[in-house]
Order: sequence, then C-alpha cells, then structure tokens
Amino acid sequence: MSRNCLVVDLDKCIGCHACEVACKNENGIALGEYWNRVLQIGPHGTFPDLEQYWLPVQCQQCEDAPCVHVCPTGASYRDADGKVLVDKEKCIGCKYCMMACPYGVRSWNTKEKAVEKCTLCGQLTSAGQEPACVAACCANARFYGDLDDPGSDVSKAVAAADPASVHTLHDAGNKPLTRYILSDKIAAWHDVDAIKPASDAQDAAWFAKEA
Amino acid sequence: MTRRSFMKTAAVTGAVGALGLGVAHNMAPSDKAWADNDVHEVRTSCRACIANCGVIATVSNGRVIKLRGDSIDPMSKGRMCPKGLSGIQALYHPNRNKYPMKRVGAKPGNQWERISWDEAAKTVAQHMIDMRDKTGKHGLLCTTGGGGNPQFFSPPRFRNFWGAGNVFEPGCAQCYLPRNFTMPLVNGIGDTSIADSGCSELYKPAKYGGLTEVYVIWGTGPAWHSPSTSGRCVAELRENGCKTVVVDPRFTADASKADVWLPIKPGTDMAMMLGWMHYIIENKLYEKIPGYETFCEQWTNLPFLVDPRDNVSLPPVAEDITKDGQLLRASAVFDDVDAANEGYVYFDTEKGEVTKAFALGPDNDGTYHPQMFGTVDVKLKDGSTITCKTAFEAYKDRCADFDLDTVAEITGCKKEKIIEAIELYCSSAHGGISLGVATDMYPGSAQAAIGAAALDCMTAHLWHSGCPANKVGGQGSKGLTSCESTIFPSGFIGDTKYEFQTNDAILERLGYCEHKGLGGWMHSHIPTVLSAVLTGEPYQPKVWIERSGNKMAALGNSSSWVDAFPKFDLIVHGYMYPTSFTTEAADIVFPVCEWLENAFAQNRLNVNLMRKPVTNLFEAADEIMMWGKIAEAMSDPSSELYDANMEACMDDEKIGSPMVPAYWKTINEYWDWVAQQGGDKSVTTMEQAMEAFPMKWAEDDEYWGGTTYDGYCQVNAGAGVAGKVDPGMEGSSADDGKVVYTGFSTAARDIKDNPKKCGPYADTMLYLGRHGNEKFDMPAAVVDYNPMPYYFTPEDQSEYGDEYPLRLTEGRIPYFHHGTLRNNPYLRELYPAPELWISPGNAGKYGIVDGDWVNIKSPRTDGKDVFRDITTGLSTDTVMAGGKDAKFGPSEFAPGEELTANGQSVVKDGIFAVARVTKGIAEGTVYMERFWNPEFLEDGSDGRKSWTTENMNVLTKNTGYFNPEFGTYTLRGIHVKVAKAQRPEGIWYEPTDFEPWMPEPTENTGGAFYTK
Amino acid sequence: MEIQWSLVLFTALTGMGGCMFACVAADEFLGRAKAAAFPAAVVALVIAVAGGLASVTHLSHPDRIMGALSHPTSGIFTEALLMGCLCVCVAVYLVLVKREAGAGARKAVAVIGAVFGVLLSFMAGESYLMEARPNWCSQLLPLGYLLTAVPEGIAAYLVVVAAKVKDADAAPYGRALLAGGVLAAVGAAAYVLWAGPADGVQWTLLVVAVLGAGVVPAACGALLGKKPESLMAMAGGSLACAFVGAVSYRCIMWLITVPIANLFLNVL
Ligand SMILES: Nc1nc2c(c(=O)[nH]1)N[C@H]1C(S)=C(S)[C@@H](COP(=O)(O)OP(=O)(O)OC[C@H]3O[C@@H](n4cnc5c(=O)[nH]c(N)nc54)[C@H](O)[C@@H]3O)O[C@H]1N2
Ligand SMILES: Nc1nc2c(c(=O)[nH]1)N[C@H]1C(S)=C(S)[C@@H](COP(=O)(O)OP(=O)(O)OC[C@H]3O[C@@H](n4cnc5c(=O)[nH]c(N)nc54)[C@H](O)[C@@H]3O)O[C@H]1N2
Ligand code: SF4
Ligand code: SF4
Ligand code: SF4
Ligand code: SF4
Ligand code: SF4
Ligand SMILES: [Mo]
Repeated sequence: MSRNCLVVDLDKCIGCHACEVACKNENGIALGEYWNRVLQIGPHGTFPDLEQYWLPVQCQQCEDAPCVHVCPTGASYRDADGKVLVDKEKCIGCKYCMMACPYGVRSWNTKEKAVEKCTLCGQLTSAGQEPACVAACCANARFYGDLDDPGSDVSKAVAAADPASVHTLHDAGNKPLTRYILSDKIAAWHDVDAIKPASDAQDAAWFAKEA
Repeated sequence: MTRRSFMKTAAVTGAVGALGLGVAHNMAPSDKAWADNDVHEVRTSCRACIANCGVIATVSNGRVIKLRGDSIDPMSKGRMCPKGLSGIQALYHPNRNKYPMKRVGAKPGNQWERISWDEAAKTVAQHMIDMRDKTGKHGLLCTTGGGGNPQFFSPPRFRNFWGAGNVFEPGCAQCYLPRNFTMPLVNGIGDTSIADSGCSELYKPAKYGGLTEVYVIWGTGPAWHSPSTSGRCVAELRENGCKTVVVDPRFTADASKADVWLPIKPGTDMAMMLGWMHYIIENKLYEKIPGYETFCEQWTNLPFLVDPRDNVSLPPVAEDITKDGQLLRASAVFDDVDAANEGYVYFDTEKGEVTKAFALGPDNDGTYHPQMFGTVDVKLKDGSTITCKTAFEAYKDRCADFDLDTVAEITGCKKEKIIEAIELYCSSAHGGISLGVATDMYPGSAQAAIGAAALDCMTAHLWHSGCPANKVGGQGSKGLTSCESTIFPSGFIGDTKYEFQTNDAILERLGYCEHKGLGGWMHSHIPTVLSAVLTGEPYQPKVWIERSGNKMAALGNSSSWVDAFPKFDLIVHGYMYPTSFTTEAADIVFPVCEWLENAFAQNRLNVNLMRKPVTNLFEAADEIMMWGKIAEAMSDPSSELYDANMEACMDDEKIGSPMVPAYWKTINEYWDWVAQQGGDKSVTTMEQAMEAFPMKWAEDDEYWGGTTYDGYCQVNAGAGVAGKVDPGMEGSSADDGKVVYTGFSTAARDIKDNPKKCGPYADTMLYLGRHGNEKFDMPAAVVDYNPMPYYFTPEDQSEYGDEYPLRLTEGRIPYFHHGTLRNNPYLRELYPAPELWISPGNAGKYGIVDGDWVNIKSPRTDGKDVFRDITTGLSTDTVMAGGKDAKFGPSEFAPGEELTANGQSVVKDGIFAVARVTKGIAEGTVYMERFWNPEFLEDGSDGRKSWTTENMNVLTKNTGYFNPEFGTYTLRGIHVKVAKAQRPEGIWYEPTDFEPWMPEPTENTGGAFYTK
Repeated sequence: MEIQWSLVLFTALTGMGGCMFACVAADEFLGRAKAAAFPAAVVALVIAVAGGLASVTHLSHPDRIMGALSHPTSGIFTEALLMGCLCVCVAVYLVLVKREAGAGARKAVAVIGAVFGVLLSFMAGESYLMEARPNWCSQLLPLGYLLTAVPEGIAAYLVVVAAKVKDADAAPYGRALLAGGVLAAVGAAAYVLWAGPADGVQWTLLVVAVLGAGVVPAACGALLGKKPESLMAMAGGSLACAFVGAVSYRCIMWLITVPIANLFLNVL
C-alpha cells in the first residue's frame, strides 16, 4: 500500500496562510470549520534572540490510524491508495474518531452533521493536479506524494533534509506519516503535546496566534 | 480511487465539472439553469495587491468557481496568497455596488437611490461646470488608492485634461514615491522596493549568475506584503544560501529566518543608517568590499568637492546638522567652463590639483586619482580661495556623532548585532538593501531613501550581480518586451498637441512648490489640500471625485477630514462596495469592478500576462469608464455642459500623443486598447488576447542570458541597464568591439559634463528643491532638500513621549490589502479584529494579558494635536509658503489656528484592538495594522462606527513637520497609550458572524457600456 | 472536553441494568427472592434499553445506525454487541421464568446474561481507551465504569426486592451493598486520582462520585444489618446516590481529558 501524505518544510514556510484559504475554497468549508490551519509556534527565547516557526496542521495520515480504528460504521476508512478518508454518508456522528485523533485535526460539519477532514484533495490528485494547498503554497514548502516512492516530491524533500531535521507530530503509536522539516538554524522543534495556545482566552478565533 | 468512490467519500460539495475539477463553493444556488458542460479556464492575473500574480480562473456555467496560480508566471511560479485566493468571495460579495446611486438622506448616512450612469455622469458634470464658471477649474480634487490600484494615473489624467485642480492618494508621499523618485537620483539605477518595483534581479535563476549573496531587508516584509511573489522569491533566495539581515521592529516571518535581526525602534532608521556609514567609514569597509576595492573611489561622487559658500537652509527639525551645500561647480573654478559644459570637481592626488571630474573610459581610468577625504583649498576663478570638503568628508562629518554606542541607544538594537549586520552586508558586493515602505511613512522618507541608496553606493553593491537596484533582462527573440496598460496623463511622457494645462495651473497645485518631489506623480500635498478645503485659502476645492476604498482607513489622522466633507459641493465615490467614505462623504456612487472583471496588461519578467474580464456583473464598469463618462458628459459643443478640454480628451487626434489615449465610449473599445498594450502587435482585440495571453515572449536563456553585470565599466554600448542604450552610444552594436563605460547617471540637471558616477552625495536633490523638475524653472522651496541623510527625534516622542509612552508602528499582514477585504468572510475569519502586539513587560505594566481587548489613544484622539491651518500660497507670485516667518500668514512652518477639533472629537474614546502579548516586539514599541469594520454599514447599524472603532488611522499624524522633499506626514512611529478594555459592541468576531457576507453568484451581464 | 450527556446516561444506565441483572442471576443461584426475579429482570431490561436509547441521542445520524455493525474493531460495535446479547439473554430469561422452565436452563441463561451485563459496563469504559487521550488510557478507567455501576445495580435490584419480596433477608444484601460501595469508592478514586483532577469542579465531582457511588451505598449496606426493616428506604436512597455518583464519575472523565493536541480547538 502506498503511504500518501503531505510533507511541510518549516524552514521555508512563511506563515502566509495561503494553504488554509486554498483548502477552504477548494473544499467549500464552512466558516468556523477547518481541515487545515497554520499555527504560529513561538517566539521562544530571550529578546532579541528569538525563534519562531509556523506549523501548518491537517490530517497526518496515520499509518495506524486511531480514527479508523474507533469508527463503528466504517465511515472513517483507509482507501485502496492508503489514504485515510471519511465517507460522510456512513457517518453516524458519534465523534469517536474526533476523540481518537491525537491532534484534533478532524472537523465537524455542522450542516451535514458529519465528520470531515483533509482528503489529500483526491479530486485533484486523481486528475493529475496537486492538492490545493500544495499548489498555492507561497514558499514552496508543501509537498504531496507517496513516501514509499523515492521519486515522489515528499520523498525527495525528506531525502534532501538532514535526518535530524525531520520530525513528526507526537507519535502515540499511531505513526503519523506527515513529515515536518525544521532545522536548528531556524528553530528548535517543539513537540506538539507541548504546544498550548498562548492565549488565556479560550477563543477559537484567537487560538494559537502564538503557541 | 475511482471517481465514484471519491464522490462518495471525499467532502467535496457540489458536482464535479467536465474538467474533473472539484467544484468548490459556498454559494447560494443559481436561479438560472446552465448547461452542465460549460466549464472553461481563463488565464488572467490577480490584482488583490500590487503584485499581479498569474492566475487561472475556472468558470463554470458563467460563474467563477475556482482560482489557482498560473505557473507560467516566473515571479509567482503558480503560487497564490490568501488575498488573491479570496477573489471569488470579493467578486460575488452580496454588498457589491450594483448600479450608480445618489444620496437621498442626510450625511453621514446610508440612504441611496438608484440612478442611471447617464444621470450620475451629468450630475458630476453639472457641478464641475458650475464650479468652473463661478470659482474656477482649480476647485477639482481627484483622489485614488495607492499600491494595488492599476489605474493609478486615472486621477492626474482626468485633472490634467480638465486643466487644473489637485490630486492625492494616501500613499504617494507616504508610500513609494520617496524611494521611487529619490533612489535613482542617488544610485543612478532605480529604487529597491521589492514590493513595488519588483527587484527583478532577485528573481534571476542562480544559473544565470544572479545569486544574491547578502540581502538586507530593511523596513519591508516580503513574506507578508506579497507572499506569492516577493515572499516566494525571498524564500527561494534563502534556500539558495543567500544571507539576510532584517531591520524591522516586528519579529516577522522574514525576521525569524534571518541571519541577523535588528529590532529597530520605529522611526529611528536614519540613525541606524548614519551608524552604518560611521562604522563603514571608520573601518574603511568601503575599500574592502571583496573584488571591488576601488569602486567607491572610481564610481561614486564622494571625492567631489562641496561648495562651502552655499548657504543651504536647514530643516527646522534638524538645524544642528552639518551645513554642507551643493557640490562645487567647475564653472566657479575654471575659466573655460560655463553653463554649456558645467561639471563637478575633485582633487587629483597624482596631479596635485583640483580637476574637473570626467566620465571614466577604458583609456583614461588610470588617470583618475581622487582624494577621498579631508579638505582642499580651491582657488576660484574670481581669485578668492575657499576650503572645500570632499563629499565623503562631508558624510564623515554628518555621521560623526553616530558611533554605534549612540546608535544602539537610539535604535534599541544591540551594538554587537549591528556590527554583525554591517559586516555581513559588506562581506559581498553581490546583494544590497531593499528599502521598504516603512521609512516612507515618516517625515524622514527622503532621508531614508538617500541613506539606503548611498549605502549601496559606498559599498559597491550597485550593478553587481545580486543587487536589488539592478534592472535586468534582455530582449527576447520575438522582439516583444515589457507590456503594461497604465494609461498616462498628458504631460507625463512627452507632449500633447492640445495644451490642456498651463504652467500656472501646475504651480497652483497645493503644496507642490514646497514639496517638489510630488511632481514625480503629479500629486498635491495632502495636508495642504485639507487646509485649503477648510479655509478656502488660497482657493476652495469644491468637487471631489474619489476612486478607491476607504479613505477613512488610509488617510493619516482621518477624523480630521470629517469637517472637510461639508465644504464640498459634490463628492463622488467609485468603488465596488460601500465603505465608511461612502456613508460619511459621498453624494454620488459609481459601481466599479473587481479585478476578476478588469483588463490590464502586465509584464512579469519574460512573460506578459493579461488580466481579462473573466466576468462582469451588474452595471459595474472599469473605473476608467467613470472618468470617461464624466468627461463625455461635457464633450458636446451643443450642450450647456460643454467644456473644450473635455471635448479634446475624447479625441485621439486632438490630443495628438500616442502615449495619451482618449477616453473610450464603450468598455469593449477599452478592452481592445488594453489588448494592444500586451506587447504583441498582432493582437488587437481582447477577443484575441483571451487566447494569446499569457505569453512567454523570451526563453530564459534569451532573457536572463542577455544581462550584463558590472556594465557601468565594461560593457560595450549595446546594452545598458534594462537594455537601455546610453545616450550618445546609439548606433554601436554588441559586437563592434567598441568598449565604452556606461557609468551611472546621477548629475543635477545643470551639469552638462556628466562624470557618470553614482551620487551618494545627493546634489540632485538639492538642485531639485531649488528648480523643480518641470519644463519651466519653479520657485525654490523655503527649506533646501538636503544632500545627505539626517536624523531627528520624532515629534510625538519629544512632545508627548511621557504621556503616551508606547511607540506604535505598522506593517502588512497577509490577509488584507490596505482597506480592502475586511468584508471577506474567509479572511475576516482568519483575522477578525486587529491585533495590538505588545511586549510581555509592557503588558504586565498595564495589566494586560494575551487576548484581552485594549483601548488605544494618541494625542490626535485626545484633542492635544489638532490639525491646524497651514494655508500656503499667500504670496501670489510664487504660490509659496510664506517662509518660517509667521507674518506671511499661516504656513506649514508656522501653523495657524486649529481647524479640526470638532472632527477629531468624534474619536475621543480612542480605538480598540485585541492584545497579543509577544516577545516579537521590543519593550516600548507596539504594533497594529489598519482595520475598519464594514459590519457597521449593514442595515440598522451606525455607519460612523465602521471607521471609529478599530481604525488606527485616527491615531496617526497629519500635523507638524512634513519633510521638504515630499511633504511626507507621519503614519508610523506615533505615540500612544493603551489600557485594558472590553470588546466593542457590534463588531463581528466569531467565524459564523461573517455568514451574511458569503458569496452570492451573479450572472455575467457584461457590465455597463458593454456592446455585444 | 464538554460532558457528553448522552454517553454519560448510556453508560450509567446500561451499567445499572447490567449489574442489576447480575444480581438477578446471583439470586437465581442462591435461590433467594424468587418473586423478584421476573420484575427485576424486566426493570433491568427497561433500564438497559433506556440507556441504549440515550446513546442514540448522541448521534447526529441515528438513521444510519445499522452501519454501526459493520466495523467490529470499534468500541461501539462491542458495546452494541454486548447490549444486544444482554437484551437477548434477559428476554430469554424472562420467557424461561414465565414458562417456569427448568432451573438449569434459567441459571445458564442468567449467568451468561450477567456476564454480558458486567462486561458491557466494563467495555463501555474500555472504548474510551485511546492513545490520543493519555489520561483516559488506563484500565482503571473501565474498572471505574464497572465498579461504579455495581452499587447502582445492587441498589436497583434491592428496590425491586423490597417491593416484591415481603420478608426478604436483608443482611446478605446489606453486605453486598457494603462491598459494592467500597469497591465503587475505591474504583472511582483510583482512576480519577491517577488521571489528575485539574480544577475544583473535577475535585467536587470526585467527592460526589465517592460519596454517591461509594460511601452512601456502603453505609446503607452496613446499616441494613441493623435495620432490615428499612430495606426499601436504604435501597432507594442508595440507588439515587449510586446513580448520581456513577454519573459524576463519568462526567469527570469528559472534563478531565486532555488530548495530545487539539490543533483546531474543536469543541466536541
Ligand atoms: N497608517 C497607515 N496608513 C497608510 C499606510 C500604512 O501603512 N499605515 N499605507 C499607506 C500606503 S503604502 C498606501 S499605498 C495607501 C493605500 O491606501 P488607499 O490608497 O486608500 O488604498 P485602497 O483604496 O484600499 O487600495 C487601492 C485600490 O485599488 C483597487 N483595485 C484593485 N484592482 C483594481 C483594478 O483593477 N482597477 C482599479 N482601478 N482599482 C483596483 C483596490 O480595490 C483598492 O480600492 O495607504 C496608506 N496609508
Ligand atoms: N497584505 C498586503 N500586502 C500589500 C499591501 C497591503 O496593504 N497588504 N500593500 C501593498 C503596498 S501599497 C505596499 S507600499 C507594500 C508595502 O510592503 P512593505 O514595504 O513590505 O511594507 P510593510 O509591511 O508595511 O512594512 C515593512 C516592515 O516594516 C516594519 N516597520 C514598521 N516601522 C518601521 C520602522 O520604523 N523602521 C523599520 N526599519 N521597519 C519598520 C514593519 O514591521 C513591516 O514588517 O505592500 C504591498 N502589499
Ligand atoms: S491525523 Fe487524526 S484524522 Fe488523520 S489519520 Fe491520524 S488520527 Fe486519523
Ligand atoms: S463520527 Fe462518523 S466518522 Fe467519526 S467515528 Fe463516528 S461514524 Fe465514524
Ligand atoms: S490536501 Fe486538500 S484537503 Fe488536505 S489540507 Fe491540502 S487543500 Fe486541504
Ligand atoms: S502556504 Fe506554504 S508558506 Fe504559506 S503558511 Fe501554508 S505552508 Fe506556510
Ligand atoms: S501577492 Fe496575492 S494578492 Fe498580490 S497579486 Fe499575488 S496572489 Fe494577488
Ligand atoms: Mo503603498
């Protein structure tokens, strides 16, 4: 099975949020719902010796996907391509998958009353195009492809990076596929479970302005 | 995965079109049934900011349903930023202005009645004719938007045709003009704004030798001002190993990736520049630039002698600076020099004598041994002897007090970091400084532009590979070049047959004589215009035609304009949606187009793009039709509304200049004209252009391979900067073996024997202030345009620093362009309210935690700094300010009484923002970007709140000192105080609040003046 | 996370029903309170079904519920399966009782049903063990689910016994209630203390859970030995408190959870 996913080079990412808006446009996502968000991590350090980077997050395409595991209806499933997807027509809305996703990157579609998430833009990739967020990415920092295919954009990006600069979000046994490239010359990597919204206001609009 | 299984699984709403594109929409269903098979793509270009990235729009059944970048664009390489991607939501916004309207209720207010284009145009014409007959033509005021407005020249064009009046734009003196005008006069090449001018060199693929090795990003933020073009470019530079220095109070994306970040205190850039110069001179770095050790000696005007007799007048804010005047003219020294062969002089150390400076060539460069520093006794031809400094010595004196300890103190940056930055900058000649808009927002705008350009001169960055000032790119094989459909005003390039305006009318432009740099774009001085509106002196502006977004959000101290609106007979607003300006000021509203409805030819390196009318909605039309239809209403000799100039401007033959097309009567004619500007002669109609563009008119090899570096001293005559043939060298070809040095061209206008040096000592500016740049000699400005940069303490600091302890600055964010897109649902969801960045220390001091709402006030909201009478033009001979002496009446040097206390009291409660407590800003500095709240224009709301609630431009300053060159006022680095507050009532903040603004698709009507 | 009331009620009620039926089964073996067997089984069934229905209100698309049987690895599948098995067993048991079938068959069915009932309660908790939610991820959590259900079940059973059996011997029931209460208190406290209450609300709920599910039933159980005549009062009081305690315990679970990350700040 292939291991399709996104890879993001945080050394390059300039925090422009184009990927976020591209995703919303492409997928017609309602206000207040997200499949892809860009979090600012930092600044950390002592002024003026600061570090900061942006962390775009969306489904990490876990190899051992807990969301699929807990889904009672098979609405959350892995397709023949290895992609973790949601068949919204099967979703009963139990939200167990949302509880089970270690990163909270599943989204509740209020109108359709079903769970959604990043689809890796299968409608585009199956027609030979790049996912919307990859195509828009202003810093050429996002890549899509199959980690098992050494010729894919993702494999090439990972291979070009120093292994010490290749990270994944905290792996709780779910084996996230998405790789983040961040080298020490830009900033030290912060494990995702250490990232908390800096804001005391538990306000979705304000969330993660800095974490 | 099969299509079918995808349809069942993926969360794409809607159907899949014939091209297999996921149809994304949040739009209400259409009432018109379309055949399911019409899906096509239109390759166009974005205009949600100044960058013009290539875009592919997917149109399904007449509706634009998707935008993505066009990878043919070599600058954006197919990328698109959030502003551009929001084009569909902007296009189909439910609140679009759909047809012309006239006000039926009181001002401010939102009661309108639909009228026809004809009635609207005639109403404006009637008021103009009345004004002409009663008080004269100069009562016309035309204004527009700044960067982002492709028909930037529409207002001066209309005004010039009309024959008199004033033009402004909130940027101009506060944006780009200071750099755009000044830098070429110093470096002889061009400005280095990566946002505005593009800096094509930075885009050059490394394989053509274009690698920038050191890049100083000074007061500019490519990552956020144009993520897909300049942000992308700088990301690629960094990836290719370019080292960067970022000078910016904010810890921006570019700062976080820089090798050195200098978190400069806002408004202290001049001190920083003088500090860099001090260090460079002290450590002789100017002669240690690897590979270019003699550049400074050979190619700058720094060895030239300064005339100590020149009694330059100094700016009132910096009367303690060294009093160095114009460069000594050769005619003062040599008997055989007069106006016909005027030149500069230097002291030759081999010859041991004062020598007339000359242009270096392959045969003579061994004979040039200038003395760089010190003084020289010069015997003048009248027999007297004077002691002259070299220009470099003058610079040395100018920056003498700016040792790095002092500079560290003023700028708040660490000395070691400053040294690290300078050393990095001087470690390679391949690179240079991109100066951003930040410094344009201070009365030091011209000084910063001179400073940055002078630094690149002193350090041999100019015209070496990697320098942002370079203009590169050769001619392509197809013989096409640049394309652009800017519509020029009469008198801008070449002459017209018909004389539309008199010299007197030009001199009458408000504030122009004092601030001659404004002539670069034919603009007037904004505060002087405001003063004239309020006092009627020297004359009363009466009809105002404004074509842009929200002046209340873009003009400094914007509440000071409230008292001005009632003084006009008629105010016209042309825009896509109602804004605060509409409710506050407008009597007539014209519906103009979004960029997806517009046409524009745009060059992008070796590709020519064409913005195409992808669709056209309602009765909206390109803004050019607004100006044209008003003119047309006055063009009929048999009508009561006749004006001869307006008749002439409808007629190409009468105008008699290919550079100045007449107005168009139908939109189709205009589109065809745009199509003809695309650079391909065979394309004459928009219909053809639809197919023909975008057009890659040169292969990379042809385009980039043609660039010659170090061309100032090596090239043959064939190719100069940007393929421009140097005057006098025409006729020689690339391979005739005749090697000529092109040099740099920066001499003042009276210099005939141009020594072809770059001119860090800006004799050119000094000359400009005294003579102007018109075809006639203008009266001198009261204060001379100083040839070297200087620093002065910002007025807010010296006057209000104790009471308003925090210094507020601004900078772009990736979500909005100026005042635009605040009504865009996806973007407002991302950034629902303005942030106030504040350091943890300051936040703690004021009891503020992250996410708190805060209230912000400045001396302008508190009645302490009220706009005052600065009427100029009391001396009718010169139309000049009366001088510093108050007996000549009020002037900007001696302002009269307060004029706008009433308007400014509207904002006495200050404004509100969300505090973002961050280490990314220094103690003592705060940051906030412009904002306004279109939600207050919804039915039943108080429209005034749209610009008084979260708009930082009611805090900024249009009072006090304006620099002599451009009259720049203060939009950044103003002083404020902050306090914890409550979220203001009525603003939209939660994501779902913006639901009413989700797009409603609309039929393609062709718009107004469309002929099938 | 917000308290998911449907699921709280689902687990509290099915737990009660399951454990109640276990009491029926126990008495089937011990041969006591025969008169209570039928009504108690009916009540247990009603409670469990009510719990099941409560869970359905959690769903946005109950119409697609049959799909829930398609994915055997999910917790919901296990719960639904156990629920179904429990109901079948209780129903069969009722038929057997009605038809006065042989004791062997009744015992067999009762004990199988009891196992399903107890398991259901445990497995309802087990389905929350997700790596994504580290402070749910302990066998103490389902154990707490089961143990807080035990006094509920016993007390509910005793209410029926008190109503149907004239002179029931209260003493053994008292001991059972005492033991159940102690286990519930320990079970609830063990998980919650392990997970680490973060705020006053959670601590308060823990006190309510320990008192309600543990101390009160245990005290009632202890008192029953001395005051057998107040069986109804004690049973009723214990039932109410045990239910409140079980609900509190489940509420704590929702409030206490911290996911590895909640990057979209979903409010579930
Ligand atoms: N305090 C403070 N004030 C500032 C600034 C600041 O940083 N701080 N920035 C200053 C600067 S740099 C500037 S440039 C000004 C800008 O301030 P304004 O000039 O008032 O800005 P806008 O009107 O928003 O922008 C330009 C207009 O061009 C429009 N446009 C887009 N596409 C087209 C098209 O195809 N045709 C035409 N005709 N128009 C189109 C946009 O919709 C927009 O209305 O504000 C200045 N004011
Ligand atoms: N998203 C977006 N893009 C735009 C525009 C927009 O409105 N929105 N406007 C367009 C236009 S018209 C222009 S002119 C360009 C401008 O583009 P830029 O030149 O990049 O201008 P800014 O981002 O306004 O300012 C640059 C940086 O200067 C910093 N700064 C503020 N004060 C000071 C100071 O005193 N000294 C120094 N050294 N730095 C300071 C700010 O923090 C900011 O990061 O952007 C264009 N692109
Ligand atoms: S990241 Fe979350 S949604 Fe995506 S596969 Fe992993 S668990 Fe599932
Ligand atoms: S909410 Fe839908 S997708 Fe998620 S686990 Fe339940 S049924 Fe599956
Ligand atoms: S791949 Fe598609 S669905 Fe996933 S984040 Fe990118 S744009 Fe969104
Ligand atoms: S589009 Fe690219 S550069 Fe911009 S935020 Fe997303 S990943 Fe980063
Ligand atoms: S940078 Fe963004 S807004 Fe500007 S032209 Fe490009 S895509 Fe459009
Ligand atoms: Mo600008």
